[in-house]
Amino acid sequence: MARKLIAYEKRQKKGEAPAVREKSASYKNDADTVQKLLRYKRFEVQNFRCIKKLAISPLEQVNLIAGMNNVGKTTLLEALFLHIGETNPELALRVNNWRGLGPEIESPWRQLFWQFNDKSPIKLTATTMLGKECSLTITTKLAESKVVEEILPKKGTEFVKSSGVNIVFDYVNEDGKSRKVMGTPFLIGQGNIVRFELRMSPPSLPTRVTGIFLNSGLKSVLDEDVNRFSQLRIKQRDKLLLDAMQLIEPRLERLEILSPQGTTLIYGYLKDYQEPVPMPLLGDGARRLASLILAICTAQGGVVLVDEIENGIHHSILKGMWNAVAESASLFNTQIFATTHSQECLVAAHEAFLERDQYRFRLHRLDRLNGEIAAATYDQESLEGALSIPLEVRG
Amino acid sequence: MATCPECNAVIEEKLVVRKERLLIAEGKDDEQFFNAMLRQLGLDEIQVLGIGGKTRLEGQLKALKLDPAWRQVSSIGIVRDADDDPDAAFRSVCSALKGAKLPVPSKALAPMVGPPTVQVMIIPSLRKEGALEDLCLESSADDPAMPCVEQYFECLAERGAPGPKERSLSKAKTRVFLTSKEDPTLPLGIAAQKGYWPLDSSVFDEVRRFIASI
Repeated sequence: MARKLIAYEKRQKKGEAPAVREKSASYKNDADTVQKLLRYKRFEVQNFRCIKKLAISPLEQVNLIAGMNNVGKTTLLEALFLHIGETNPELALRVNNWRGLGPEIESPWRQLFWQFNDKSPIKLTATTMLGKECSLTITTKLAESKVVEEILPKKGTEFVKSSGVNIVFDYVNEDGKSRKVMGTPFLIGQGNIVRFELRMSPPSLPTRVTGIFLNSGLKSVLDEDVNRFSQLRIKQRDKLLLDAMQLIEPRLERLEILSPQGTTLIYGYLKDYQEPVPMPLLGDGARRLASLILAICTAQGGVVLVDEIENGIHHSILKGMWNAVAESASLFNTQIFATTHSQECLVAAHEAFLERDQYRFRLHRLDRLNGEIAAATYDQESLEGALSIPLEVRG
Repeated sequence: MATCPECNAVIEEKLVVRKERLLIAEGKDDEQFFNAMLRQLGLDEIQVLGIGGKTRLEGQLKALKLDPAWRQVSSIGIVRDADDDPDAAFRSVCSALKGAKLPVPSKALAPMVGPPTVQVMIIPSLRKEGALEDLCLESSADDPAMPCVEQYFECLAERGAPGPKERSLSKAKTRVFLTSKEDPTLPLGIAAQKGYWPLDSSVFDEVRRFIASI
């Protein structure tokens, strides 16, 4: 397997191997191989949002991040998300949007930088499981001209204005090769509608690994879940989802994609029900768990980031949820980063992983110490020790 | 342990490291005993943590090191029962310290400078098998109830009652002895706080010196 891996890397260097290893990764992986395939062993964040400098390691297949409010848990997930995207400045807008921050045309990027100081570059550095470094440096750059004189072919366009501040994503990969993409934000006026648009130069390349971010809201994007369920059906692994869903709804017998009235949804067949029930009616917990499992299976060889993973899940289901997460993450070589505020959730994770062949779980607690954020990482032994005392591990 | 006033469920109280000097003892009962000893000595700058189970000490020390309050800790003392092998007890504590990457003393009662400074005491001593109960019973050897305690176990043996195993005898004697007190229901640690053990006895001299040196 190790020889295959080296061969794969050589092919990838030549651009011959697929970025996401849909076909080459077998479903059954020995533990050593899984370790090598996982994306991140160490991750360091500098000058991003509330984090001046933070290093987190060692990372495992499943990583749970705890800590007080506003200590940087979601920020850490956002940093990972930007890093996975490599040279995609659009993701910067997306993470701001999830926070409810609209694009500010005069200074759309300041909110990304530590203390709003865009003079100090954001640097996100990962060490892979193979011990190689890849880093993303994010800087801003003044545009050559603030007002763009542009005659647009689009009908009805009245004006196009640049913010005057561009964003530059400079990604250095595992082989030391650098690629830069600059994003230029524009305001485009059409009648009463003013639209924000980010134009990339050169265009962003597709990411080599899949990263999926599930934010803390309970409402998943149903279309995405349908697509991901289809992929799982094609791989004939949809029983994973059914098993997980049965934790919440034991009457569930089967899942299908149906579109009886034009809208395509996942439907569940419940025992003693005359008709299948659309996923949104199975409850928020079921939807949340379905989105989670589908994301893990879709991001094969990649990373899933989950904010407040326990949201919508009853405490009695948590251990089962972690079993399902562990099983699907292991089968699909997906690395998980999730945040929590819940003691029940982290204890359930610990107990679920204790029952597995290998304890592929770490708890990382973020603390604000002397004004700076630091991470404390618990392995099996130290977490058992902390829970037996009991010490507070949530921050 | 506290209970929820609404549902009566047990709420686990979290331990908070508050002081620079820590005494790590074996369990909550020992914690109560050493707290009584600290009060008797007038020392309030040492915090007793009744956590040091025999098998989990290494993980617990690792967990303590990860606590944000750990950086303020300057000195720790670890008290461990000798049980049936004082040397093995000392080696076991040293192994846990080494595993947790903490300073490891070369012998019992000898501090290893840190930070944090670490020292270990084996009770009743490095030359004697037994536990904290043996020290307490020895301190109360002149108590008028003690002959009755001895007679009770002799009577059990004479009448063929199974009685406690040899290794549990001092624990059994402690329980019987404490039933002779005004409140007969108390465990060893709370009994110390009630003044049922003579903490100023010379039997505890070494313990007092150890605690004061943390």
